[in-house]
Amino acid sequence: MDRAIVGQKLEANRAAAQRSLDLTKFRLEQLIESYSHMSRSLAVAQLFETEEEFQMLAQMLRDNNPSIVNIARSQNFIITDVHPVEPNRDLLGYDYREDPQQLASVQRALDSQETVIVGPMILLQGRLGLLLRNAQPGPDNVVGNIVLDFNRILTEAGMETEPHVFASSARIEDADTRKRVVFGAETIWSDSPVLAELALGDVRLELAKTPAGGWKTDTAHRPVLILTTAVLVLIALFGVNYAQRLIVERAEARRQLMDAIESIHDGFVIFDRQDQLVLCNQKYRDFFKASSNLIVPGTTFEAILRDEVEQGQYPEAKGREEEWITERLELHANPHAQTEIELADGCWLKVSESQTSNGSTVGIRTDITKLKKALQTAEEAVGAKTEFINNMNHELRAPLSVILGYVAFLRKVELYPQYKALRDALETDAKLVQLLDDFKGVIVNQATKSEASGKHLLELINSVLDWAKLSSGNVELHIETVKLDNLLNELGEEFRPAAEEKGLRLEVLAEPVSIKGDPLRLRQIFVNLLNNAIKFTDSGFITISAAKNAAAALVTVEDSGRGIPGDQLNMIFDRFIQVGANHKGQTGTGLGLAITKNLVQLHGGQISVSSTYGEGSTFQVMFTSDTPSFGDTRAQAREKTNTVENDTQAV
Amino acid sequence: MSDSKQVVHVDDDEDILTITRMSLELVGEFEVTQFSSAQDALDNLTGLQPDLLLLDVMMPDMDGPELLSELRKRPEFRGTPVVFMTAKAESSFQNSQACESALACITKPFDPFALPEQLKSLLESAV
Repeated sequence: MDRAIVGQKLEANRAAAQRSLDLTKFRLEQLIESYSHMSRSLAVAQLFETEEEFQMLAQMLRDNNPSIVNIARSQNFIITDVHPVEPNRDLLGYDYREDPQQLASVQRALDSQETVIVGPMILLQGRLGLLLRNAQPGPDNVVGNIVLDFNRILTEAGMETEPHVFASSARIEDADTRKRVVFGAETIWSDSPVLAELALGDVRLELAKTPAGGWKTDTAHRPVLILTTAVLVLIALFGVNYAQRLIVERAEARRQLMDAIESIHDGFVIFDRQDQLVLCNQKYRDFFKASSNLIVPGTTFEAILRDEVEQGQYPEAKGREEEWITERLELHANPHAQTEIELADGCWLKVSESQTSNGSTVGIRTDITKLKKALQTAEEAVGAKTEFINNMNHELRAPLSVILGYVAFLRKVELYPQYKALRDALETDAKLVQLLDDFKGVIVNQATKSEASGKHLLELINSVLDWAKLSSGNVELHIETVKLDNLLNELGEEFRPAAEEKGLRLEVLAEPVSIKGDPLRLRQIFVNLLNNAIKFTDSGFITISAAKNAAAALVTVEDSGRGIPGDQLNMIFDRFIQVGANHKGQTGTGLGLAITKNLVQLHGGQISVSSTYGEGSTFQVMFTSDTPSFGDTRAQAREKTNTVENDTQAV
Repeated sequence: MSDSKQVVHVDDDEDILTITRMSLELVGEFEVTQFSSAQDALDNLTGLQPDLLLLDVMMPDMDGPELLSELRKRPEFRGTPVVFMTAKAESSFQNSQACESALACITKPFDPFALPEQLKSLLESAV
């Protein structure tokens, strides 16, 4: 082979080796820069305020970067956090000031705010390690440390890539100018290797490469070499870029998450599976200012709660502190708890707590003071309205009792002893007797009209007050077993005179039916229907019937009255709608059927109407039961229970 | 004297006292002794052994149920039947313990022509 050609090949081989080595050096610098960035992140205290957060992030970094041996963080020169914890537990509490060399590098990191590189040095495990240290000067002087497996870093940088192509070695020269091979075979250094060097803190690192089989002139490997080099460059560039992007993205995601938690208008808190506080936002701290010294990571929920109770934060707990704490802790242990709590400053909080899959508890504290106050005001208004209704009920009925009482006697004026005496005195004078009888006729006539008006007024008052009570939900049912057949027969007797006065035939056809209901209110329902039937029927009949089947009890009030026009049928149960409003002589509030419907519904029943205009109407009231086992046995068993129920069960 | 039943009636409303007296004496055949307050009744009931106590529920100094519990402390009234009268159509009173212990709770306004018959049948049912 021509010497010149041999020389060219040799030169080409050296150039390829040099490019490979330069690439390794570049990757190593990138890796150190990347790890420096991580170390810098560790020093930024606000990113992870708690031990758990630190461990979480450190674990994540180690999982993604196997070259990391351990991670530590110190505050004011004392190591506060290490990861992994177990093999490094002794480091916790270590004071850098005990070792002048350590103190010097920590101080340098604080002063320069640049990455300080310490090592390579021999680690406890016998490996060679490289320490990257960054600091954040401030009240806590936080320092972040990452210790790297030096050999692994070199491998990661490409020192062992394609070992059949290149042999690599690294040696360091420390401050004493002693050179020590730390990677690869020592013989490489005597085989005219291509060289590269870089500074690692106070240490100079030399890298060397030779072809795996020495400096041969054979060019057969050249294409392989070029291809390998290209592949390595691409892999390296991708790897470094990916690692950097990952770190930046994670830091950004965490920052965004913390920002989001802080921007929540509600108090936000997380307790870990040991029920120790992990993190909370400022709003949460604001709610419990009196216990702020305890609202720090690591404090248990119970410890914070007890302190809050001791500080008198919960008016509801006063006088029964232990009992209240027990109840609150039980609620806290519930995976989906919700409650409302009043604080000493009058603030009301809605407390929502739920447990995550890993056993942590996430809590939200929402200020519902305005809502509570609005509710309180509304309740007071309802209370005032109820009181007003009750007072009006009494105040209106009392004078009406007097009016109707006296008017009733004026209609029977002959009962007055004074009248009797006068008539006896005038008995001899027929003319005077006639005049007296005429006068009595006038009094009776006017008293009759007054009584009718008084009764109508009473009916109106009853309707309006009833409607007011029903519409504000103030009607309580006093449930007992009611024999509908008995009730309807009684009503038949009561209403028959009025019906007959109009020439109507009133019939009751009731088979034995019992239901659960309020006897007074049930009576009111059927009185309303019968009153209407008599009022709007001018000739013919009124029939009341009661029947039952397996699923329902049915009461029907049928009349041969004037009926309801089709266009009014669907609105007659609406309030203020007066059936037959156009007819003369019929007056009312238009509340009767609305009240009736409301009372039926309050009993869990349904009311319906069918009518043919000019021929009559049929009202049907149906009381259903969820359990279709009707029978008198159950009726007897339930009799005399004074519980208030909202639905009536036919039995 | 006749077989007419004796009623002690207590109500703070003078007009109701008048109407009730007319009802029970002119329409019915009761003998009525009336008091316009619970205290008046407690002070002056001594010596009377009525067949029926007819008590207003709402009175200013002492209400009907309170008056009844005071009267029940006296041996002569321990078993006297009682009927309450109230202007409150409230079912809460109709379902109260006091009302449960009475023969009936009559709601005002009442029909003065029906009241005597009503009381008579209540007294018969109580025997």
